[in-house]
This record gives sequence, structure tokens and C-alpha cells, in this order.
Amino acid sequence: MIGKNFARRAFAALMMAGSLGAAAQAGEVTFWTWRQEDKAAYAELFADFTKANPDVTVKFEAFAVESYATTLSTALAAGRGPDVIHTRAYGGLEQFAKAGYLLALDPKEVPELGNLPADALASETLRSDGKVYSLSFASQTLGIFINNDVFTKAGVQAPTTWDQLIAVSKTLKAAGITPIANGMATAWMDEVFTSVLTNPFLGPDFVADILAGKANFSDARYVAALGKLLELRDYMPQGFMGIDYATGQQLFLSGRAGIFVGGSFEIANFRKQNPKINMSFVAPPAPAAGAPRYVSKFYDGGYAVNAPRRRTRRTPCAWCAGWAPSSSVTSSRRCSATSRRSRA
Amino acid sequence: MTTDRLRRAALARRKRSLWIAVLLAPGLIVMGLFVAAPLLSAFRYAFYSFHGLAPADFIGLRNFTEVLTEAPFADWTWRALRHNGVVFAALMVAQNGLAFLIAFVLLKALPGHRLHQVIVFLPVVLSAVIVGFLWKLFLHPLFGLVNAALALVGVQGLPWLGDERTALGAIIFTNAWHWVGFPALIFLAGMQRISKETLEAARIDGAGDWRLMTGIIWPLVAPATTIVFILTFIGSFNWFELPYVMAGLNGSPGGATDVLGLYFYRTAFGNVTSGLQDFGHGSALAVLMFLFIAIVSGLALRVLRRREIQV
Repeated sequence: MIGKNFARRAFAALMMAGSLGAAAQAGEVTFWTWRQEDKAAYAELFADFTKANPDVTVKFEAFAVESYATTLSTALAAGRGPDVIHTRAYGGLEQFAKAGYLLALDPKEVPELGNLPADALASETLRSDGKVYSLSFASQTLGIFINNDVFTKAGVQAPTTWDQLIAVSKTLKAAGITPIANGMATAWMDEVFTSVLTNPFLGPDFVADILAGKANFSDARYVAALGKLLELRDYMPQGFMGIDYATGQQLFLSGRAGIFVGGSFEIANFRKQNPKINMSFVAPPAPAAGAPRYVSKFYDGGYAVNAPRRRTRRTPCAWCAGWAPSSSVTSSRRCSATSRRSRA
Repeated sequence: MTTDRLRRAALARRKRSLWIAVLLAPGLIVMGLFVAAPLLSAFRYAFYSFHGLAPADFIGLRNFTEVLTEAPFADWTWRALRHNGVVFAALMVAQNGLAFLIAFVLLKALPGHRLHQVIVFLPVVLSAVIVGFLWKLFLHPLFGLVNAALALVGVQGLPWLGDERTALGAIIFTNAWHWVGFPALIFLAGMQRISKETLEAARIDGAGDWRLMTGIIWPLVAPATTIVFILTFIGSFNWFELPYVMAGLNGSPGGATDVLGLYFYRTAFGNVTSGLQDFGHGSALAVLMFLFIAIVSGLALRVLRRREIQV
């Protein structure tokens, strides 16, 4: 009796799953990303999207950050891959766009492009044809994190000039606290560290000269700025050349160090790892009092449409604009209009 | 009657070859699909320029000349090759030399030699990823065992993996710790094949340990030396897992631990920050590595085999 009942229920469930599967295939859009940590946020956005477009559901798939590019390029080369691709910016976008895997975004179809600043658009533009292939999803700001509790205990304040940074570091060290948490053993983090602390000495003039081809990285200004970093050696963890990114983060989060040089991408992770942390994220110190405190920023990537797949599946192109949280309502309406048009 | 028997024999032979073919087929298919095909496609890609990720034009040997002679590739290629050479030399002397001594001691069958045999061989069964991760922790400048032990005797340890002077050495040391049991086992097997009479005769003639080891055992384990040499050579020039786990794709710090395996991988598949993939130059590097290892190990094998016969 129980056996029969179970079989009937299982059969019904199978039918449901089958029909759901068939329906899902008709209006399902797949999205690939390397950011597993954003899954919950995307689930909310996708739910809103499906509410506005009942015939379209979105399937979220995340891959390990180290292998994302390889997985994606293999899938694309085999004529597969998702409908919507989370892409990197700059060169990381270029290799996919150049190979013809991404759809050039038409400003008429994706008017949201008009809301983006010029440097965001530039980060998603293929230099050889000047077309935009991806819709920027985040800009990251680089700066320094201050552990406020550690600073208060040591009786110091967040430094605003380089000399203050050295003075604060001396006080922290005397109090038995490692002033700066960062080490040098993770190559990409060295780029962040160098960029944050040398940029205030270099300023926009140097960047302009580099872009114009008038200066290179053996320029006296750059060498001098790098030289300033040597002054920090005494205030970094013991054996800092062998301290990696993860150790630096832990030293800061546990309050064993007072300062962490990093980017806005740390904030969510820091809060998750130590919800009680009382921290500030501030601009790097200026070379002298009154001088501007320059901050570096870059675009992390964007959303692009898989061009070969769209040709066969007619994926709505502008729908991804609906995810931008600020404009989600208006753009999802526009999205549904576009998706109807593309299906017609 | 005889023709019938012949026919039956022919049929049996055909059945037998069919049976062999059936047994070989799964292995051949797997090897063909996952070894031969990728190898051939890497050969093909090495002759193409890439338009982003898609192969574009046939460019002959340009990828090869660029990775060997033009900046910035050439500097990286030669630096990586030099590091591989250092790794090979160091492993031959330190790892395999030690393995030879261990094998000689184990041959003496001192009390507890079986237990020691197991202990020496034990790390070999661990995965390189686990070993790399463990030693990375041991060598950590703040929380590592090594520096903590040094601190107990009043020595301040170095950031072993972060210092350009010690990083490659630290990874070579880890490799030797991991693998020393393997050549030791091969040498021991070679030594155990030497007849007892030979060794006893040498002893009676008054040969000490040193004379026995250098004059009798060393020449007689020549076949084992050949195997160890060739395997160490291939392993050193294909070195990837340990430096990948312990130094990352860039061969940190500042390329001090960059070897051909890492250099090839990050050129072809990109690293964490850029994700830029360059299959043309990557494939050219892979082909060059393959040719270099195949040719040198082929030559070494010939020379070493001749040496075996001489002795």
C-alpha cells in the first residue's frame, strides 16, 4: 500500500519536474560568474526580474575564481557557455570580445550605457573597434583600513599625511602592535599596496605622462615614490616578505595590526569574518599637509551577452541592465519590452 | 586433416589478435583522446597567432622565435629554464645523494631497518598539494614551526618563501623531503640485487664502507642510477605542483621561483589577476618543453645505458 502510494507520488513529482524542465528551457537564461559570494544578492535580483517577466527565469552558476577564465573560454570555444557572462574589464574583456564571443551593446537597446561615466565605458570597450561589449558592474576603490579600536587604545588617529603615517606607526609599534598588516608574498596584492601608497606622490600628471608615452616606470618620480615605501619596512609584520594576503587580513581582523592597505572589495568580507570589527576605510595619506589625497579606482568587470548563443537562442539583450539595483524597476520594464521585441 | 588443423590454428590466432585488440582499445581510446589529441592540438596552436581566444593566422615559427629571442618573453623563458636547471642539479645532489646513502644504510639491515624503510618512503604517498601546503605553513614567518624552532635556540628565522635568496631553495628542500624515499627505494632494490658473495669478498679483502660504496656498489647499481637520473630530469623540468602551491603562478617573490611549468601555465591560461590567455605563445612553450625533455632524456638514456654495459 505504502509502496504504491510512494510510486504514484514519485511519478507525479517526476512529471512535474519534467514539465517544469521543459518550461524552464523555453524561458531560462543562464548566468556565469566567478563571484559565488554574491549568490544571495543575485537570487533577490533575479526574483524581482522574474516577477516583472514571468516567462523568463535566470539560472545562476558560479565557478572558482582561479579557473573561471579557462572554464569560460573552453565552453565558448565549444559553442556553449551561458547566455549572460560575467566578464572582467580591460584586457580580460578584450580577449573574449576580440574572438567574437560577445555581443557589441547597442546604446539604443541598452540605454543604461548612457548613465555610466566615461572611464567605466572605456573599461568595457574593445580598443580595435571602439564598441562597448559589457555593462560595468562595480568600481573598486583602493585605500587604507583602520582598526578604530586598536587606534583608540593606542591613542592615535587615522593619518592624513605621510609623516603622520610614520608617527602613528611608531606609536603602534611601541605599544606592541604591528602597525601595517600587509605582507608581500601575494603578487597581485603587491600591486594594490604599491598603487595605494605611491599614487599620492605621483598624482594625475604622472598618469597623463604615462598615457601619453612621455614617461615610463623608470621615471625619477616613480622611482622616488617607490623609494618612500622602504620607510615602511620597520612597521610591517616580521618577515613581511613571506607574509601572504590571507595572513595580512587575519592580522588586521584580529586586532594584531592597526592598518591594512586594500580595496573596497574587502569590506563585505571583513564584516563577515569579524562582525564586531570597528573599522574605517580612508584615503591614503598625502605627501604633505594640505596636498590632495589621491585615491586609485578601477572597474572590476561587467555583464556581457554571449553572441553566438544569442544568434541561436535570441536572448533578450537589455535584460541584464535590469540588475543594476539603482534602476532595476525601470530597466526591467524596458527589458521585457526588448525581450518581446527580440522574440517577435 | 592438416589443412583443417592449420585453418583452426589461423582462426585461433585471429581470435587471439581480436581479443588483444579489444583489450587494448579502451586504453588506446583514452590515451588518444586525452593525451595524443591535446598534444597534437598544442603542436598546431603553436604555429598560429590568436585573435583573442580564437586562432587567427598561420604564422610559422614566429611564436617560437618570440619566446626564445624577443623581450619580454625571452628573459622569462631563459630565467625559468635556468631555475629548472638549478632544481635538477640540486635534486640530483641533495635528494638523490641522500637517497643513495639512506639505501646503503638500509642495506646493512641494522635493527629497525624495516620501520625506517617505511618512514623514509611515507611522504612519497602524500599528494604534492598537501606536502606543499604543509611546508608553506611550516615555513610561515609568524606562525611556522621552522622559525618557532629556530627561535627556541635564539636564531631569528628568515621569511623563507618570501626571500629571493631562499625561496627556490626552500621549495627544493620540500621536494627532497617529499620524494627522497622513492630514489632510496630504487637504489635499495638495485643494491639488494648485488650478490652477497661479491660484497663479502670485498669485505674479506679489507674494503671499508667507503670503498665498498664507491668501488663496488656504485658501479653495480648503474641501472638504478639511470632510472633515477631520467626520472629526476623529467620531474625537474616538468616541475609544477610544488612551486604552484608554495609560490603561486608568478613564481613569487618577483619571479625568484619561476620555472617553465609555471611560466607556461600562466602564459597559456592566465593568472588570477589578469586572466589573459595566450594560447599561441603558451603552446610554443609547451612544444619546446616537450622537445627539450624528450631529446635530452633520450640522449641521456643512451649514454647512461652504455655506461651500464661498460661496468
